[in-house]
Formats: sequence, structure tokens, C-alpha cells
Amino acid sequence: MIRDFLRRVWALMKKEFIMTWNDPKSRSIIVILPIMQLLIFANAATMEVQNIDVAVLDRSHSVESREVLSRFENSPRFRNFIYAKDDKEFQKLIDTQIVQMGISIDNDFSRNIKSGRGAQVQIISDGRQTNSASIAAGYASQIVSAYNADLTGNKGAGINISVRNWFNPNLIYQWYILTVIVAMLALITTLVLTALSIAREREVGTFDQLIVSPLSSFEILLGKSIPPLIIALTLTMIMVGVIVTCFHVPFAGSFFLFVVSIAFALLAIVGVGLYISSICNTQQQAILSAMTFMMPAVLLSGFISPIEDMPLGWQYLTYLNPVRFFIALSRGIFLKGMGIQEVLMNIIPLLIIASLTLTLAGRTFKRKLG
Amino acid sequence: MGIDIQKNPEKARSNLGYMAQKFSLYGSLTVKENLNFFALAYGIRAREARKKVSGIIEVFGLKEHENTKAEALPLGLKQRLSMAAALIHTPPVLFLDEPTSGVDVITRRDFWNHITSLAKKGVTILVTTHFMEEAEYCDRISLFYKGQTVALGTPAELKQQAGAKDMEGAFINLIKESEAER
Repeated sequence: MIRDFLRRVWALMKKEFIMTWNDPKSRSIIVILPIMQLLIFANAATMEVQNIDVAVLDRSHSVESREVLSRFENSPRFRNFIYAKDDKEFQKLIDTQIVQMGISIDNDFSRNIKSGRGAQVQIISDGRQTNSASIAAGYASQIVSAYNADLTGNKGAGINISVRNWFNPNLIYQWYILTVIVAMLALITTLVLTALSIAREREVGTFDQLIVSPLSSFEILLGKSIPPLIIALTLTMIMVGVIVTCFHVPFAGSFFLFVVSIAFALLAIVGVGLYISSICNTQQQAILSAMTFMMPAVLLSGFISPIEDMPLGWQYLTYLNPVRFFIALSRGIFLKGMGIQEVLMNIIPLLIIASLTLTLAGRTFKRKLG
Repeated sequence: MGIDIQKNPEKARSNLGYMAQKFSLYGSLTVKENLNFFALAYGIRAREARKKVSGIIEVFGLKEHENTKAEALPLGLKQRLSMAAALIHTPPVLFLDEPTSGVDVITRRDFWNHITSLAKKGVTILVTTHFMEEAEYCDRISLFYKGQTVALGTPAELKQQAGAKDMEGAFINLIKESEAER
């Protein structure tokens, strides 16, 4: 009885593996997608602000103004400095986005410093790109306040801030993004593979043949879940290997815990994918539905913006989102070495989502069989 | 067979062979892989399955195509493969849904040779068709019109009932009769 069961599930799994590999669409999802994602996310998709070009309007032409500007020039964050003759040119440089930031120093700058009245440097940043603008302005104010401290020469007991960044001491953006794309990659691969699987069979008519076979709907569900799970898990492990060896991101947590939690996260996503697949009649519908799920799921996952920054109602909504827990686990174990208790807190909701979606998927395609 | 399809659908289904009207095997799998999958899905042991698959490939003359992907086969061979897949577990009951639609004359004759030889071995076969000359080969015909059985019997009985020489005529007469009754 149990051997028959295993034999049937094994037959289906084997078939799924062969078909996934033979289908050019699925194969490119497994092979090309991870490589592209890794390259794009690791290199191009950076939120770090570097290579800032600056327009300078120095009306003071004094030793002090030179000093401030040379500090900017020595910062690795800023690249080119374009000196404007007058207001008009200065404005034009910013308007045409030739520069991302402007520094304007008035002609009373030196005089004000010497008289101890307090001088001003005006920083103009490009608000069309909110995020880069505020980061660039942040760099600028750091530089200026360092100069300030030197000028006043530590008179009296000042407070020095010493910042230490835990888990990513040098705030290397790649560390952040790479540990998240592990989850992103697994998400996309699993979702698309599973979303296609039943819909494809229904579209070409092979599902009828499966239904008249002795495979029960539970066996079909199992045979359809395990292959994408194994494929995505293998891909994730390869990715982790690449990230640790090629990008030198330290793996802080327990590898065993990592594998276990990724497996649960993937199971939840397999559930979502199979549910989508079970309600769709064609592959096109399935892909579109998968995308429709993916966009909000990624936006509400804490990848783009921290969940704590969302309005309260939306924060509650993220509890329905498997990607949220997935990212928390992948980043938490990878960078932070998340402990078992915290891991469990993230795995339990994933388990609930998985059992819910898988049951729904099983029910739906059983009902659709008529 | 004594199996309640309501209570134990999986067991009951393992006694059925089904060939769909539209080709519904896996196009991206080879002939052999397809047959192997269905053999295992119907609960045949791996070793035995291998034997059965090579046997049925022989019987249906698919030997030289065994490593061809199913989607690349011409229609006639596809139909043969479908039938092979439906028969892989030697089911006592076989459903053929318009097995010969869109198939050339030679393949069709081939097909009926298979069907009759299976029937002789004691397999119960249910064929749907709209070729009346094909219906002639069957032991018992149920004539369907607008979702209802219009007539039921052996070919000879139906012809007699309709007062026609061949099945084609019997078919037309019987349909006309049922139209008139409405």
C-alpha cells in the first residue's frame, strides 16, 4: 500500500524533473535567471550613493572656503567638481542633472568665520531623487561638521558620537542585498515553476490523463511540490556558496537552521504557486497571476522598505506574506546568526501559510476535476 | 470487478485504460519515458515496468521511435502511443474516445485490428466514434442523439430495427425517427 503510494509519487517526481529540464522555459528559469539576478543585484542595483558630481559656486575665494571644498574633493563619495562662474550657471548645472548636488559659499564666509559669528555653506541636493538626495546631503553635512569641529578646536567638553554598525560593520551594501536576493531568487524560481506546472498540463490536456490514472490528488500534490522544492533549495545552496566565496559575505548563523528554514519558506511559496496554478487554465494566466502576487509580496516583505516604517494596517497585512518571513530568515541567519527561538517564530507562520495554500490547491484541482 | 468507485476511486481507476480524443501524453518526454511514467503511475513495479514498456513498444511498432519526443511524432504514431499508454497496465476495461479521428485509413485499420484482438482476449472496450462503418465492428452499439440513447443493440439488430442495409442508413433512419417522436 505504502509502497504503491511511494512508487506513484516517485514516478510523478521523476517525470516532473525530466519535463522541467526539457522545457526551455523552465530550464531558463533555473539556469539564466539566477545568474542574471546575481549579476544585476550584486553590481547594478545599489542604493549606495557614490560618484556624486557636484557644482560649486565659491563666492568667497578664501582660505577657509578652499579648505571646505578640498575636504569634499578628498571624499571618495564625490567624483567631479564643476566650478560655476555665477548663479545662472550654477542653477543650470543642477537643472540639467549634470550634477547631483550643489555647494554654494557666500562671499562673507571667511569674514564670518573669523569674527566667530558662524558661517553658512549652502548645500543644494536634487529632490527629484529623494533617497540619493538625502544621503548625499548627509555626507555633505558630515564633512562640514568635521571641519567645524576642527575650527572650534574641541573647546570645552563636546560629545563625540561613535557609531558601530553591528552585523555589517562597514555597511557594505552588497552584504545587505546579496543575503536578500537569496530569498528573491528562490521566490521567483519556485513561484514560476509551480505556477506553470499544473496550468501547463491543463493547457495541453495531459492533466486529464493524470486524473484518470490511479494517482490521488494528494499524490499529485506531493509529486508536484517536491521537485520544485528540491530545485529551488539546490539553487539557494549554490547561491549561498557563491555569495560566501566570491563576495566574501560572512555566514554568521547555523547552516543547518538556514537549510531547514529555507525549506519551510519554500514550501509556503510552493503552496502559493500550486494554488495559483490550480485556478488557472493556461500558462499565460498562471504567469500573470504569479507576477500579480509577486509585486505586492515583494513590496510588503521588508526588502524595499522596512516593515516597521509602514502604516500599522499594512504592517498587519504583511503577516499574510510568506516572503516577509522568508527574507527575515534568510537575512537574519545569514548576517546575524539568528537564534533558534527567533527562527521558530518565523517558521510557524510559514507553516500555517503552507498548509493553508496546499490544502486550497489540492481542493481546487480536485473540484476542477469535477 | 467489485470495486466501488465512490469509496475507492484510485483502486477503481487502476483497472481502467483511457485514451483521450486529443493527444494528451507528455510532448517533451520521449516515447519510452511516457510509457515508463504511466507504467509506474499505474503501480507497476520498476523492473516489471521496464519489461512491459519494451514489450508494448514492440507490439505497437514504436521500436525505432522509442527515443523520439512524443511531440515530434506524426499523428498516426501519436495515436498508437496513446493507445499503448492506455494499455500499459493491461486494464480489463478500456475507454477509447474517438481514437481514429483524423487518422489515415491504414492506421485506422491497424487500430481496429488491435481493438478486436484485445476484445478477443476478454478486454471490455468502450469506443466512441462517428464513423458508422467502424461502429459495425462493435458487438453492441448505443446510438446517442442530443445526449440521449436513441437505440441500443447489436449492429444487426439496429439495422433491422431501422430497416436499413448498412449502419449508415440505420443511423440516418433512427435519428429521423427520434426527431419525429419529439
